[in-house]
This record gives sequence, structure tokens and C-alpha cells, in this order.
Amino acid sequence: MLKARIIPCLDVRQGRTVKGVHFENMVDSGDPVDQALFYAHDGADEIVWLDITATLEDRALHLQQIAELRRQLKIPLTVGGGIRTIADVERVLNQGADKVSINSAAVYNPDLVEQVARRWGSQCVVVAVDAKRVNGQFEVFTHGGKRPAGRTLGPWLREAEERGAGEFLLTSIDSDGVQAGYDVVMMNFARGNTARPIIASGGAGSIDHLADMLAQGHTALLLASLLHQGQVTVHMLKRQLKDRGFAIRVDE
Amino acid sequence: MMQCAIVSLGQGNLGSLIASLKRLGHEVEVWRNQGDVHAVDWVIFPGVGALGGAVQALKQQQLLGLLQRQYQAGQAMLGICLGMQLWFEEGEEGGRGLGWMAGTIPALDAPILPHIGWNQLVPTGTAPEWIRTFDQQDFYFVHSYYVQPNDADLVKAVSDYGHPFPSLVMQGPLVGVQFHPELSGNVGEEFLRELLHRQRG
Repeated sequence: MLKARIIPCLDVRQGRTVKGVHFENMVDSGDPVDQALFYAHDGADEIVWLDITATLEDRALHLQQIAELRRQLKIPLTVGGGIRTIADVERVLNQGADKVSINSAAVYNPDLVEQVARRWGSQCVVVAVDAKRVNGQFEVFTHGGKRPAGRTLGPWLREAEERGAGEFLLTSIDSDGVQAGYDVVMMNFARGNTARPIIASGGAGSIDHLADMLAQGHTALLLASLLHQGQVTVHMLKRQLKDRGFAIRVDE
Repeated sequence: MMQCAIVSLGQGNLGSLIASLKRLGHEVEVWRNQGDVHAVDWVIFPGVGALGGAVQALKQQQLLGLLQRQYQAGQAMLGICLGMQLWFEEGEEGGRGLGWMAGTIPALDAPILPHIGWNQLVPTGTAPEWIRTFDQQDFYFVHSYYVQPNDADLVKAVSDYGHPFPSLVMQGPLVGVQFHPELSGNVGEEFLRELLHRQRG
């Protein structure tokens, strides 16, 4: 039976992990390579690494860190942030990422999703979607949640799937960093609009929040603030979820 | 230390596989054209890309004929995911495989595809003893198709997503896995270590 995936996410800026609230007010919380390895050792099922500034100056350091992580990391690694061209994808994969996460560029240049899927396979393409409620609809936003994409969630998920997305990483901007629970309504809505796996992101603040999602049938959960603050560990969360009867992989 | 050659299937990203083999202390090379081919301990068909493109790439790189000859001479080979599917005859995805193993490559029947994540290995009655030590262990999968050998005895382990499917097959010098040992944490590393040492030849 498939186990639910618990996926720590590292937001990396200038070589350091940071985390904010509603995508703003970033706080430094450590060395991303060390953190990723720690989470993996602690039982994480995958790692997502998002380079949240991705300026030219940061790129070299970023790639060097990815390569360093790959040498030691034994689980899947998704890298995103500032991926705009095939060359960006190639650079990240050459350093040993298993998948790329494409956000704004997927919206403004959907051909990129097709090109990556054709060249490296759909399993390589995670389309990241940031959405929030606007006038009773789920609207898609880009550029770190600042710019409306002019699209609503359902049609965008269907189009991206059609173009070759192998998986979605869906963040609710309304819930992100608030630690008041995942956006169950948005995630259920998304589930009804695509046959691809969805990694739910934004809002995890307690084990109950994770359990709520698993009980609704969601099978991939992203975690950031909750872990970086060090209140709970991946192992603690997974152990407790398993004890509650959910299908969870726990390394003994 | 083993000498491992990874066959380039065109555009695959090989970083994780290379890193995992190096962590185990093996020597790794990537074969991109016929000049690269020679006798090694293991030839590895990696698990990325699409079936039609992979066969095409093997032809373009002029690797196909030499690999056929190595296979016939009993060279130990490991196929991972697509790399294993490639050894079969025909896939729903379109395109023909190499036909080294008799059987098909049907699509999984499940509401959410691809099958992505960690899932259990259940060894079959014909599995070698060392594989049974991985009973119920979780490995990382990412695929929408699976292999269905005509000879059920070739299946050494199954997993379940929507329905049971073969996740480990063996035929002479060929060992095929539907999961990715290189992405399966400590268990995957242990599996690779055991496989590369025990199953050779």
C-alpha cells in the first residue's frame, strides 16, 4: 500500500534557509544542506528545495549546494525557484535534482512544461501553484504570491496536467505560514480537478492538521515552519501518525 | 568494489544513481556511445525518460548491438523502472522494447497517476532468500506503467497500487526493479549493496 509522503520544504535565500508568513517577513533558520540531510535522516520521504530569490549572484552558490546535498542525500530531491528556461532545468538536474518545480514560468510560458516533460519525462516536472481566494474563486498567483496570474485554479490544473505536469505542489497563500491548518477546502477542490498527485502546502501547525488531511485522503503533505522551529521532528510526526492508523513509512 | 556502467538512454538525469553507487564505493561510468562499451561487473539501465525515446537513443548512440551481444554473453544487468520496462516487448505507451523478456508493459489502473511515493515490496515464492529479507520494506516508486512477464516465475516481488503488479523480476543475468533503489533511503542502499554483490553472474 502507498504510504503518505511527508515532505519538508526548504526555502533558501542566499544560501540560507528562511521562512516567512504569507510569503513575507523572512526569518533565517539555518544551513539548508545540513537541514535537508537531518530531515532525511529523521525519516522525510522527499525533500523540496525552493530557491526563493534566484538572482544571478545566488545561482552559483545554489548549484554548488545542490550538488553537495546530492552526494549525501538518499531520497528524492525536487528543486525549484527561478526556473524559467530549459537551460535552468538542465543546470539543476545536472547537479543531481530528481525533479524540478516550475511556478511562474509554467503560467507565462506553458510550453516549458511540455518541453521538460518531453525531454526528461513527466515524472521530472512538478508544477507549483500558489492560489488564494478572490471573490469566492481560487485565483492563481505568481511571483511569490504577488502577481495575479489571470487564471483560476481548476482550469490551470487541467491545462498543466494536459501539458505534462507529473505532479502538483499546491500552496494556499491564505494558509501559508499561519500554522492554522492546511486549506482542506482548496486541496479537496484541486483533487477533483486533476488525476495527478498533489502535494498540499501551507498551514501545517500541528499533528492534528496533518491527520485531518490524511483522513480526507490526501497523500502528500509539505511542511516548513513547523519543522524549522524545531518544536517537532519528522520522526515524531510520522510515528504519531502511524500510531493513529495512517499508512506512513517509519524507519525503525 | 564493482565496476558499474550506466547506459545513457538519451536525456536522463543520472545524478542520484551515480551518487548512490559512489556512496557504496563502486566505480561508475556512463556509456554514451559504442566506444564506451567493455566488460564490467554490472551494466545498469537507468529509470528516466520515455520508452520510445530510450530505444531510439540506444540506436542513435550505436549502443544497441553491443548491448545485445553482452546480454547474450550473460553480462549481469540491472534495469530500474523504465530501464527494466525497456527489456520487454511492447508497451501501451507506444513503441517496442528490446524483447529480451517476454511480456507486456501495461498502464497501471488507478485514479491517481503516476504512482509516486513509498510502497511495500512483497517477495514471491520463487524469490531468492536475500530478497525475502526485504519483505514489507518500503521503496520509492514513480511510474504509470508496469511490466507483466509471460512467465510468472520471473516475478520475485510484487507491490500494490490500485492492483498488485510485479515490482522485481529476474531472468538469468537480468534483474529488473520497478522502484528506485537509489532514491529509497537506507533500505534502498542496503538493497543495492546486496544485489550488486550477490546476484552477479
